[in-house]
This record gives sequence, structure tokens and C-alpha cells, in this order.
Amino acid sequence: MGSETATVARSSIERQRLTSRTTPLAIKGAAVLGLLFLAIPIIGVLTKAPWSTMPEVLANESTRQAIWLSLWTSTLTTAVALVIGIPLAFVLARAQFRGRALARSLVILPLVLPPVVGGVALLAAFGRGGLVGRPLFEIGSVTIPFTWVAVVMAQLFVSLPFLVITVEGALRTRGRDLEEAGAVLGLSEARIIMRITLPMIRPAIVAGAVLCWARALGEFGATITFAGSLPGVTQTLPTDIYYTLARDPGESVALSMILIAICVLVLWVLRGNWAGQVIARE
Amino acid sequence: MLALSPRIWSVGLATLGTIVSGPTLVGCAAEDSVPQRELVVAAAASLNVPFDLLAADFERANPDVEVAMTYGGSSTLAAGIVAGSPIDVFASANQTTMDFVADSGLAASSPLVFAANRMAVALPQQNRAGIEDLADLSADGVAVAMCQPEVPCGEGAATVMDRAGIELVPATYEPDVSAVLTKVRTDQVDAGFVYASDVVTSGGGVSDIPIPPELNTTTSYPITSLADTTLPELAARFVEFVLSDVGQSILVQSGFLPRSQG
Repeated sequence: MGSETATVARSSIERQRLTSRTTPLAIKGAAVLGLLFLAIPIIGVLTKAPWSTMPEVLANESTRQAIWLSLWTSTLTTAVALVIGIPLAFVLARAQFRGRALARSLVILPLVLPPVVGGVALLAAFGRGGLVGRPLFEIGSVTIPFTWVAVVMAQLFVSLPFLVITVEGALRTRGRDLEEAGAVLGLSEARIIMRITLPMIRPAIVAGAVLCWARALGEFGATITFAGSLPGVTQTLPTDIYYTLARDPGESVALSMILIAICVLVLWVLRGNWAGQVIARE
Repeated sequence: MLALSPRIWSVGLATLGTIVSGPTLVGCAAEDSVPQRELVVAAAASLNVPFDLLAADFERANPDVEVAMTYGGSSTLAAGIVAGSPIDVFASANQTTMDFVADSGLAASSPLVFAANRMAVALPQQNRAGIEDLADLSADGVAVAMCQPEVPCGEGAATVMDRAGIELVPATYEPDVSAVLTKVRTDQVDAGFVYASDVVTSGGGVSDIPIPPELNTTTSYPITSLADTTLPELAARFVEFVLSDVGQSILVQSGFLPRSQG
């Protein structure tokens, strides 16, 4: 027993040494390049930031409206994504049915589509002349575009895949031993899901929700195409940034800083919850 | 985390292959003819139709030249130019935006007015909201699109409604006039503020209601070659062509007023 532990320990040390010794310079160089490519634009924004006018920009009514709208719509989007996304991930990971490959492709599609195409598709479906939108408008005189509902729908369309794919991946890779043990002990299926499966994949759910939320917060192309832009109603922070760029590039940089700050803050607050636990369990 | 199936990857790679190899083929074809010089012209979104025609005519007259058109909201284009976008000629939908570029020392010579335009209210063909005059636009449940206030067409729309003394909250502010026109053509809104030329160039896609002349505004379109162009002589020739009789008749056919009325 003791010698076995020692062997395991030794081999793990050797593996560590091997890892650090064999990371070739070329790989390190490329890694630094990759990191710089991501860091330089952020540094660029920082150098252009009009720090002196920041309080003024923050006090601006339309800025506050845009920040508030972005925050609550992306949070609502994430809530809806959790409610429909986790079951979807369950079905994709575990159910056997015809057309599962098609269903998976549908989930992945918004990831590879330009968001503006998502906006056009949403218009074609839910716009006043659209597949679903026309009967809604003609019978119930309901118009979805240009409302906050359209903002949330645009965000959900582009961000739901992030949650579904993350959770589905976790469900596929986790073993089912604990769940089987639960079944042997006579737990109902509902209890197994609530008490065993969901806690087991909690880090993946949190990670997926964060990705989903961040993607929704940054959503622009589908939103401007499908929901339009009206301050206080559908003008989110990214749209505001884009419009302000034409009027006052300095203010646009200030608004970009705010968006970056919000994202950094959220990632930092959730770091223990997310990266920490995912790594600890791997 | 993004565990894509092998099939998705292979489809993705195949698509990527097509995209990468596409331009190469075009490049080979171009080398067989004459070496190309590329003139980049940035123009206000409302100039889309006449400038595509102008660019084609200019290319026919100068077979070694390829005119690359880029359209957008005037102030977006101006912001790009001031930030250093490699553009040779700039045609703006108003004087203020052009002044912003000229004041930054980026105009090669003083900008010249080459056309003028009036505002118009475009309606979808069905006109389900039964709009007949400006006052109908502010009725309950009428969705109106206009450009964001920062771009000339948004400024024009605000001026018209101001002069008419009608308070109007639009359903949406769009980034440029093309976006407004699209919202009208696809019947997403009941009306949209566009330019008179847009109604003409939409080819019957939209109808319009008359704006009383005393309420309407005329915007002048200035053009200039830019100081940083690598093709100053060619850029100047393009500007001359737009101001020439041929250029002017193309603009008038597209619903613009000639420069004499700007």
C-alpha cells in the first residue's frame, strides 16, 4: 500500500517535471502571441479612455438607461436559458431519438451564424410579416420587434447554445455511477436529478450561465436588426456604443470601458465558483 | 467545452476551404487582364444606387481602375476616416459631417456640393395604418422608424416634425437611412423618414406621402478627395466625374436634385 502511494507520487512528480521541461519555445512564443493579441485591444481602449469625462458619461441619462436595460435583459435571458437550456442539454446528452444529430446541429448553428443573420431570421419568423409574427399581429395586434421582448429573444437566440453545450458536455463526461447507486437505493428519478445529477454538474451550469450571460450582454447584431434601437426601450449598451461612435468617439470609448468593467467584475466575482471548481473536479 | 461533433468540423473546414480558395481564383483571373488600382470611395448610405452606377461608369472609362464602394451613415464613415481608414474619396450626406473631416485637415481640397436631397415619408405598399399626412404619424399604435439623431437623415426627420409642430416618439432609431428603408420595405414599421431619392430608387418598393415644401428641408451632399489618399490624381478625377454632366444626370435619375439646387 505504502509503496504504491510512493510510486504514484513519484510518477506524478516526474510527469510535472516532464511537462515543464518539454514545453518547447515555439509553443511558448505562440502562446505569448495569442495572449498579446487578446490583450492589446483592451490596453488600446484603456489608453484612449477619457478618464476626466467618465463621471459625466456615467451621469448621462441615456447611458444609465442603456446600462440598466442591458443588465436586466441579459439577466432575464440567462434565467430563461437556464429553464429551457438545462432540459435541452439533458435530452441531447441522454435521450436516444431519431433526429438527435439534427437537434444538436440546430443548437450549434447560432454559434457559427453571424448575429445579424440571427436578427434577419428572427424578423422572418416574428416580424410583423413573419411566419409567426403575422398571425400574432393580425389576430392579436401584437408586435414583437421594437419591444424589450425582442431584445431578450435576440439575446436568447445567440446565447442559449453556450449554456446548452456546456451543460451537455458535462453530462456526457460525468460517470453515471452515483445516479445508478441512487436508483439502487430506490430514489425516484426526479430525486436523482435534483439531488445527484444537478449538484454534480453545478460547475458546468454556472460556467454555461456565465458564458450565456456575457454573450447576451454583448449582443449587438441580432438586437439592432430585430429589436431596433430606442433609448430606454431597446437601446442596449452595445447599440449605444455603436451609435455614440458616430457622434463622439471619446464617449464611445468611455462606454466601452463600462462594458469591459462590468464583464471583468462578474468574471472576478465568479472565479472561485467557476474556474476553481471545474479544475478541482477534473 | 465546445465539443463539436467531427461531422460539424469537417463541414466547417470544407466551408473554410471554399472561402479561402475563392479570392485566390478571382485574383488569378484579374492578373490575366490589366493590373488593378483600387480607388476606395466612402459614401453616405442614401447614395448607394447612383454611386454604384457612377462607380461602374468610372471603371468603364478607366479599365485599370477598380472602384471599391463603402456605404454607411455619414458620421460613421467620417469617424472611420478621422480614425485613419484608408479611403480616397468621401461623399457625405450633409455639410456638418464633411466639416468634421475637413476641420481635421483630412480633405485634399475644399469640399464641393454635388447633389441635394429632400426628406420623404416612405410607407409600405399596403399602408395598413392608413397614413395620409404627417399628423397621422403620431397616432397611437403607428410605428415609425427614423435615423438616429446623429446622422443627417435623423436630423432632417427631426427638423420636419419640429416645423410641423408634431411630437413623435419613433419605434426605433436606425443607424442609417438604408436600415430605415429596409424596415419600411419589409413592413416592420408603418412609416419611415427617408430621402426623396430613396423612394425613387426603391423601384416601387415603397410609396410616400408628400411633405409640404415649407416644412421640408434640403440637405446638400458635399464630396472631396482625401488628403491621405495614395491616388490623389485618380481621386480628384472621380470627384470631377461626379460633378460632370454625366455624373449629374445619373444622380438626377436616382431622384436627387442637381448640385445647382444644393
